Amino acid sequence: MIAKRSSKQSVAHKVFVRSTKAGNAHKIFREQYLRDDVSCGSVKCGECSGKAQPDFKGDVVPPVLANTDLYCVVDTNICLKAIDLLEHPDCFTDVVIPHTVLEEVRNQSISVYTRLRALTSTSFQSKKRFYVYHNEFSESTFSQRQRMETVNDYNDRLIRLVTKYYNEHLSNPKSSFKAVLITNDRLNLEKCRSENILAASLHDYVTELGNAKLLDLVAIQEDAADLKSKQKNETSYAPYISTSAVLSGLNSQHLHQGKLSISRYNYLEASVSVQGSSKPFLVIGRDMMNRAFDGDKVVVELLPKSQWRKPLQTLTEADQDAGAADDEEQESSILSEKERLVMLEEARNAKPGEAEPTCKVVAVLKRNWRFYVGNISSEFAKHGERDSGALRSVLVRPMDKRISQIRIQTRRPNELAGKRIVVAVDDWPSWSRFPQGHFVKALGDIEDHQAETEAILLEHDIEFRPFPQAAMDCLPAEGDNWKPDELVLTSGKRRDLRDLNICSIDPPGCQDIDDALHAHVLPNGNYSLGVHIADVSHFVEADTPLDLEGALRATSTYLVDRRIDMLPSLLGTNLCSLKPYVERYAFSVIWEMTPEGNIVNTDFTKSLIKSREAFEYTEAQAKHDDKSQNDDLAQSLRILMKVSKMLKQKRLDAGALNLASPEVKIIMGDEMNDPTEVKIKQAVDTNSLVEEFMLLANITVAHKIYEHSPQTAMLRRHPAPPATNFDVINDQLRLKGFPQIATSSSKAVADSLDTIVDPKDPFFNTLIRILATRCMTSAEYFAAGNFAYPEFRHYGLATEIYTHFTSPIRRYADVIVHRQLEAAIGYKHLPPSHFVKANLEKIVDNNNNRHRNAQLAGRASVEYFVGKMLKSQKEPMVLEGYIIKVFSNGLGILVPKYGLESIIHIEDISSEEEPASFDESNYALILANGRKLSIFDKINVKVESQLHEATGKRSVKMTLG
Amino acid sequence: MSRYEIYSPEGLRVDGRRYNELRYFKCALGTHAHAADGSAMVEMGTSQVVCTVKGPQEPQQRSSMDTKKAVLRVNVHVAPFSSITRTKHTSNEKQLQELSMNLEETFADVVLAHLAPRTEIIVDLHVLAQDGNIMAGCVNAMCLGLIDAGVPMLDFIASVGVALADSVPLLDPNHIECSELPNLTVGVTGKSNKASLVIAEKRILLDRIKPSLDLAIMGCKTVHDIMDEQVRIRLNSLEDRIKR
Amino acid sequence: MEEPSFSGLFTPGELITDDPMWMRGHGTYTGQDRKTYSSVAGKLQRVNKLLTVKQLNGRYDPLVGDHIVGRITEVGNRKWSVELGATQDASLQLGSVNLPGGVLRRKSDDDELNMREFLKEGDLLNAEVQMVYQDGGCALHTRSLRYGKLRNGMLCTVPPNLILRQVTQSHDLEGGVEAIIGANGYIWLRQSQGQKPEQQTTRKANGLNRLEQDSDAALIFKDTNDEISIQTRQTISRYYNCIQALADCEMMIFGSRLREIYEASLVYADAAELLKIEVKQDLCRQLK
Repeated sequence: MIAKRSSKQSVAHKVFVRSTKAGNAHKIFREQYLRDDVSCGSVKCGECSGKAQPDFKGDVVPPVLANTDLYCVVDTNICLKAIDLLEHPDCFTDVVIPHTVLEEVRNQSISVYTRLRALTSTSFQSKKRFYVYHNEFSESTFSQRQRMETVNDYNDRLIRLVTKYYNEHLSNPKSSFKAVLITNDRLNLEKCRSENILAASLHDYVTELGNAKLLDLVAIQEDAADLKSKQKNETSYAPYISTSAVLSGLNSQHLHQGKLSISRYNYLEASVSVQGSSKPFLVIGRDMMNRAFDGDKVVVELLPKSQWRKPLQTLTEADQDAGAADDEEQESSILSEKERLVMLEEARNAKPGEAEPTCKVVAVLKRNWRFYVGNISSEFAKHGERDSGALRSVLVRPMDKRISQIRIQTRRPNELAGKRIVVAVDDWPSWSRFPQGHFVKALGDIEDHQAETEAILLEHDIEFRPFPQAAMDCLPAEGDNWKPDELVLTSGKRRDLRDLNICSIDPPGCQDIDDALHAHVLPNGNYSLGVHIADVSHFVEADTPLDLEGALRATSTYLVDRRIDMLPSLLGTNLCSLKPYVERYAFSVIWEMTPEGNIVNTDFTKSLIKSREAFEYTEAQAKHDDKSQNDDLAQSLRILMKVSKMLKQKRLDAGALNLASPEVKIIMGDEMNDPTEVKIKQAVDTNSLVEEFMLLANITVAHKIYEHSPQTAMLRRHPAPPATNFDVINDQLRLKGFPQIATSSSKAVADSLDTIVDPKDPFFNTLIRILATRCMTSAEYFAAGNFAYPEFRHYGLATEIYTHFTSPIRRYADVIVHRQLEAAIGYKHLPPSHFVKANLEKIVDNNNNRHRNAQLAGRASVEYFVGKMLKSQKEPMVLEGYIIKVFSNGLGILVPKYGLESIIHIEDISSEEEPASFDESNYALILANGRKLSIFDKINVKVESQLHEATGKRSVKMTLG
Repeated sequence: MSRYEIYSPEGLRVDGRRYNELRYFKCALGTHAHAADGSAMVEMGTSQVVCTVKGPQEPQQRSSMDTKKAVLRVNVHVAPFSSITRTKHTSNEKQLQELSMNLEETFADVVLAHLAPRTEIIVDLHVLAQDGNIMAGCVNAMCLGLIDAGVPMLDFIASVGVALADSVPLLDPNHIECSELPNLTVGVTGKSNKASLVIAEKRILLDRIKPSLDLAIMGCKTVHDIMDEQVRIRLNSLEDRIKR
Repeated sequence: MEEPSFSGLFTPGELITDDPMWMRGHGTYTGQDRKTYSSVAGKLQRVNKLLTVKQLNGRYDPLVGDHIVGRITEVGNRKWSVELGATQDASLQLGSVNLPGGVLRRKSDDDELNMREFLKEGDLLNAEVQMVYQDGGCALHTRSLRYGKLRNGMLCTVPPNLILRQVTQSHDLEGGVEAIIGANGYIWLRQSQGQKPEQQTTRKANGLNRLEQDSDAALIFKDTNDEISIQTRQTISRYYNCIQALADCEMMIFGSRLREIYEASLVYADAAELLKIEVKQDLCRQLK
């Protein structure tokens, strides 16, 4: 290792003044060391490889760009807008990315930057050769910024210098090599022409490649000025206010920021939860939402009190809204006819004194744009007809009802009609009625099983591509033949627990066994109880590609017919899984407990176990009940059952909630994948046994890791719901003559829920529990240093501290907790990245999001299969259902048998001649024939599957049975 | 994610250096000859530290006199204009005091204080510009200042910082690298291969320290050579003067 | 066995020789391996078997016999502390001073209490270094009519290594000015004592030997200045500026050079001109 010194000549200085958020001025003075050994990165060049310098490990970066005749130099806007094209295997094979461009991209969009960097890695060598050229540090391409030269012009000039350099550096009279700058910037193209530098617009480049499919992908990025002049002013939303106005508004409390959530029932209504206000603010109407998407971080301004509204009582689904074609008609207003009627109706029926704070969106801080799956609205394309090949603007209706239609340009709308397509959103200028986006890819025909599954996964941002090679390389080389190493026992850090009577209890067909239990009586009469969890952190080392992939996925996703693993199945179903009869590594928590249920000692240790048996729930229950079986496993089960009942009672006494959600199990038919039956999952005592011990383990571990790392311990909390969340349901219960849900504590909730019974209907109590669940807040992961101890409380489990420890195979948070526990017991040091609180906060946020998305995806999958099952029925089914929500134009119904939830539209139960009236204060709809349909009523409904022609969407149609 | 790509896959840092390259190092002795017995100025990149040494001289306070050796007192002053924005209160009192104390301790082993008992040596360090941590610059400036003042020493102390980007050590970090990464300041006495000063402010994994120390020691040696060269230039000019 | 290069320049920590036969003086130290290293930046000097490294830059290093100019900082127990610009203040014992009443007069207790009458804090004096202690401190004496409190003049300080040690350090200069060049770099410029008619008359008036000595001694400790004419003041200022010019151009200072530079400076009618850097450099160039 040598340390080199720099000479004076090779230093340039970048001096500028920058203003900060607080309004101060910072004078930034930066050095730039110019060098002569910045390689051009091409195999053609012998000179540069001769000068190459080794890095810290002694490796030399090998040349990347191949011996082809065309290198593309890309500029910032191309990278930002056309990243999908850059990733496409059929174009952009040898690309030079000037470092100036990379920095600009990084400042504007981290996600595009990550994708760009991923392209420069060596894993794509055969198809994609992207090289980052550090133009600002190379003597040949460095240039000082001139006086009065704007930053943009300066950057453009630097990029032109790079193109020029490559042409001169690699030019060869024998070959026809050329380096071309790809840019859409008018001015830049002109300057290139005048300076004799080869340049082309993206459109020209793709055209020259001659691939029609690619042309479609090119988002037409004409200059904004051009577009404005061409396009008629369709409409105008209020333009967003400037950043400085936002800052000053937030500071003076005149404006507020929060996340926008659009209502599932009514896409015209949204709420923004603002810090400092217990009730979220309403945003009503498309113009008030001002182009914000669901999930965006927005800045809102409260409207004057006279304009405050109540939450909308009507159902509005975007499907039913006739979307206006843009080019043909001129719409001066934003609202469609139908929308306007809805709003009018609302305004007329609004009762005074019940309005809630209402606001309008004045700026968007962070967009929550992702890929959207949808299909082309039928007005624009006819499936089966030939495409003319001309570029046309079409509207794509996304699957997610809360998203507005997206306008894209395509040459083959008819080909794509009837297919599920993926689009990305680029922009939503204030003069455009719809957001502007571009086509990404087609998934397959609508109703095609593969396409629909992929659609669900994409919509919920679930990473389902196969594990990257780098991650697979982190697995043990022996693969399936891996055996635990006995030698580790000698060091004393891992205990030998192979002689314990350990067994596991899981659902039938379970391959990935996370946990196993044991129990026996000690000589002193106390019980020794143990929970053994798969030792995933042994196989997944921090900061390896495998770890990063797991952290990204954060959880396994369970769809009806598919499981998207968080970790490769070699680990999940074999090496980590605590399979019976084989030796496996585990992380054990062992308690010594008195027969009365008091814990006298707790021990944490890494261990080597050998599970005796892997029971299914029913098997274990049977063994427990069978008095003739008295082997040590049966005895162990009995002790476990006894203790688990004690633990459960303790928890209920403390106020743990026992809420039910309709969990359904789909019975698949034959291989053709049409389900024949849908069952509700039945619970047996042994389910509760396992659950209790898992909870105990989680709580015990939570205490331990909090003690050891009070700042960075990863825990899980469940904030208590504000009493106001229960207002609506309590009002409904009161009207119906039932006792209220007491909200003072979780115990109060649990106890009061027990009293809400209908002697005539045993399911009623379950129904109320299901509805009460929806009033709860959701549990979340958090880093211990971010909250005070009282806020660690898990409301639903009635415990003061909680974490997830017991399922590391399918949850990433558990892997982190394993590592933290390892450090707490002195087994292994915490990796350095886990000390940084900011890293943990990122992981926590990611985990919370992915967890939520995985749940939603699972539910969407169930819904889809239920729909498919209904489709296979020849006749509509008549089922029992409960009214759980009443709108002015419909009823929300829950069918417990299949856990199905859907809507009966007022059009289907009444008509012009026989109108229905809405009794708002009594939560009821009264039909013309006098029949009263009110909240919690049990009614018969006719259920069938219905295909919407316009959207190609299959949904469930319910009518009165 | 940080604002900058600290160490690019192509091996270049935020300012274009590679992992093992020092910033432009400039130093001079006798810059404030009229104001103090010894003076020096050190520039490491855009950091600039000026050192003035008064002494060995009669102690200003009788009480602080030590009959066996010279008393070394260090004061560090950071100028309000030294950073990217003008501040009224520069790095807080405690930090500066700690810095002064560390310097006193480091040099206590190297200055042959017993040769000048009953005297005191007052060292004033003025940080005029900070880019990266100032400890290294202060050590180098103080070493040269003491030499210029003629204080007898065992040897030079050359110092340089090193930052750790994951497992890659980066020599002589600038302030962007210092604020984002854990970093160490290492000082080496003379031509030995041993570090006589190691100060770390953030957490660093022990296993990662060895390669960073090695790199830093190499860096210190280079700095030592540059400083030695500068001292000789000064000696030569002084000698010329005497001949006249 | 390395032979040290005797004309060599050394920096701290540099190896001088590994031969143990040499004696090590100032500016060197022995390392753990018994080799000799330099501890300062300077030039190697060899005197017989003694090796020293003389630092080229540093405070005044007192040598026995040096004629110095210093300032009283403290009046202490039977002695004064004198600040010389060395590493430590020098001490001037009560017994090393000429007191009124004769050289061999015994010092009584009164004298002790009246030390301030003779020399108090802030007074300037010139003296000779009598003894140098091991730790670097030194003792002075003023046992000669040449030495004593200084009056009628102005102090000029230059770096001590610019002073060339000469046999006589006090010089009579043109223009009615005397200079006492202290080896420690403090230079006292004053009106020539020879031009004092009052003094001579008093002497003649008294005419007694004893009184002669008395009055001389009394004069030595007198506090007030005599009359000094404007021209003399201007000449003194001019000499001051010349000395500063020599110091700024890093040239050695000694009597004849001082005379030379003064003559060269007469070209500039206004002594203030000499403050300009170009003028200083010009004058110095002329001297070479």
